[in-house]
Amino acid sequence: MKAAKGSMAGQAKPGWASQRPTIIDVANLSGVSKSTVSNVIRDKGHVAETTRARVLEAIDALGYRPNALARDLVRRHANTIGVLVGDLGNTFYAELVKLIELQASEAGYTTIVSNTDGDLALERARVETLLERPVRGVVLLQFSGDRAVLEELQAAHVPVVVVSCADERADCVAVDDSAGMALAVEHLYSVGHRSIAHVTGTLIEDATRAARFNGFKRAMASRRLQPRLLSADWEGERSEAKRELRALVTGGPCLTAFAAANDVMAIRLIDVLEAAGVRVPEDVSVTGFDGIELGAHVRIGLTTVAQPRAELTSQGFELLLDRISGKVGTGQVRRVRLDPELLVRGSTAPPRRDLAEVG
Amino acid sequence: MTLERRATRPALDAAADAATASRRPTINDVAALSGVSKSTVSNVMREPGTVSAATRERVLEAVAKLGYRPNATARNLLLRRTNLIGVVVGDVANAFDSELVKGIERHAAAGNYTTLVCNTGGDPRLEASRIDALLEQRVDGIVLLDFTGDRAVLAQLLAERVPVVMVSCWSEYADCVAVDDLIGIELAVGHLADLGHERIAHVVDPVMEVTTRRARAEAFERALLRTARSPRAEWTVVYDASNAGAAVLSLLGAENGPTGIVAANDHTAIRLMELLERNGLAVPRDISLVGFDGIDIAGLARIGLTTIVQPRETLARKTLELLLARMDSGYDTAPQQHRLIPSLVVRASTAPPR
Repeated sequence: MKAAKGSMAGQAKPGWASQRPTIIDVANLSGVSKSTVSNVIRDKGHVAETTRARVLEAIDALGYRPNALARDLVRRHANTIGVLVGDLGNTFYAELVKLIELQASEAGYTTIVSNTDGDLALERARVETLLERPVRGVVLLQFSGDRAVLEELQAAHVPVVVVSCADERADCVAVDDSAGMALAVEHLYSVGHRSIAHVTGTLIEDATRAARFNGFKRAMASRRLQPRLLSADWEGERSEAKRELRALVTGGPCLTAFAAANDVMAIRLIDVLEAAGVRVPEDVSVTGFDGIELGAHVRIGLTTVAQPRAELTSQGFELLLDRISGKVGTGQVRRVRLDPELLVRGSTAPPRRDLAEVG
Repeated sequence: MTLERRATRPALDAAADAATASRRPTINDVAALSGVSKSTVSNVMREPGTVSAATRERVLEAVAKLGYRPNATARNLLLRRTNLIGVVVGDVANAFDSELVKGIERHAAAGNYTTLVCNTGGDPRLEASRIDALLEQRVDGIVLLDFTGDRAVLAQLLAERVPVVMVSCWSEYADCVAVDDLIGIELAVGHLADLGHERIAHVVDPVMEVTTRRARAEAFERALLRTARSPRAEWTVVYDASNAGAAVLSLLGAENGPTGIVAANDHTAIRLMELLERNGLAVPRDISLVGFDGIDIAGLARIGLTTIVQPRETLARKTLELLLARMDSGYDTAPQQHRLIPSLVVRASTAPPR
């Protein structure tokens, strides 16, 4: 590999980065000006065939890659889709990522994934990073709902689709979170629970967290029940939070059921409860949301509200492709609502008789 | 940095202070401060070649002054660093991979790097195309959590002088950090042997990265020999979910079949637990099960998987150390290679044979 001349040697830090070939190296090797090289890459202006061939040869010989920063140079050829994910550690999203990759791959695109951990500042930074890159489109798997983020994407004319959470301002495919929480609450109600808490946490983006909590409140209100909220901050062996949780389910007027905002939280909750000597479902019932594989495990048996993963991703990717191909113009926002499905497993049962009347 | 050292007129300073005092600077602030239109600012950021040098200079000065997108375009135009690290993963749905990625992301963020993740599914073609995509993004370095062993891919990376670190996988040509698979598997086999298991099988994850899979399979044979048990080729089986683990079930159903299983990773062990118990075999009463990796869900009381724990945090930290060192040194120094020692955590999935 030819060590490219450090054209910016005065400013650039020493190291491998300055050894990558630049457009100047291509110009030098092919004996043309920088702007001619640029014209060849952008397929603009008049470049003689022999010159073009020489430039392409030099590009090939040097292994030159157009700088992603000058992204319009490459955007037209980029075949990369950016995927922004809320929590890669939540297998629901990991599984969605894999399905999106499959779709993308079949359509000739490759994917890069960026994890935000449900953090708004990180989300902004990651979107900015993606905007500096040659990407053909962006899939937001979970989205905080931050207006600035969306505006930035739209201002940059990057096709966007929001998958698995709803947003008014962009194409989206999502289940109805309210309807989903209602399924969970109605199921708990139907087996006799009246004292139910919603369990949520910060690893879920704001928009989804709010939508599921609101759905929970609405479902409780329609049954004239008092909604309770519990924050899932018992991680890290905080025995204090665990004691509190135990008190909630064994003290005086106590909770008999938890409707968690997602499966990961529900499964953790079961672990914390059982470690505190509270049995599931004998003492309390727990429901999840999402329908991850682990919830179906024979040892876990989580009653949950499942999202149709395959449909979410296939329809989401279709919307994105329509945008990329220009089939759907700006100013037109499309929303697809899918139905969530209640899966009843072993983590829910009627409340204990001695607790059922309380609340 | 360089931009900030340039002299600016006092009036500019005042305007800049006013703009930055209240909120995050916008493209409008940059346009106002540099006296050009918004679209000119945008052209400078996106297509610098289309703007005259003098205008570009003025806009970049305003960008620097206002701290507009401080870590992105303006600085990169000078340094040609992207502060991006590409992370190549075999299976994001395997919690070991995703937990390690999150650890690497934390350390990367501390060093002011952002990560882009690619998932390969263990497919060499996808691996090559995804790494290509990362290079197109001009990442400053690449971390491979999985590597299919495709020499062409590694050769390309080395040829392009892209700093590469392999974590939890191995190649003699690259910087690596991984646990000692032999020690790990010996711990697993030794534990089952101590409990009295004579007939032990090894179950492999088909998506698992090939060098690690091979290393663990070989380690398994050696560990059996060490405990005076003869390895049998047919007792190393692949758990294939697409045919409902038929190979595993037929092995376990055979006369004098194995009483203990060392799975190549936790991901597989937890699925095996599911498979066995759905087919009427209780863990550990009928079969003892040991995993490898130490993922979080293995520690759930309901799963209670005995496993070989990899020091994830050390792996993540060491990965970033190696990568940053390689970025500084270029390729003039020999590969740095670190083997870490895994440990056995005994939980409820293992017991003496019936």
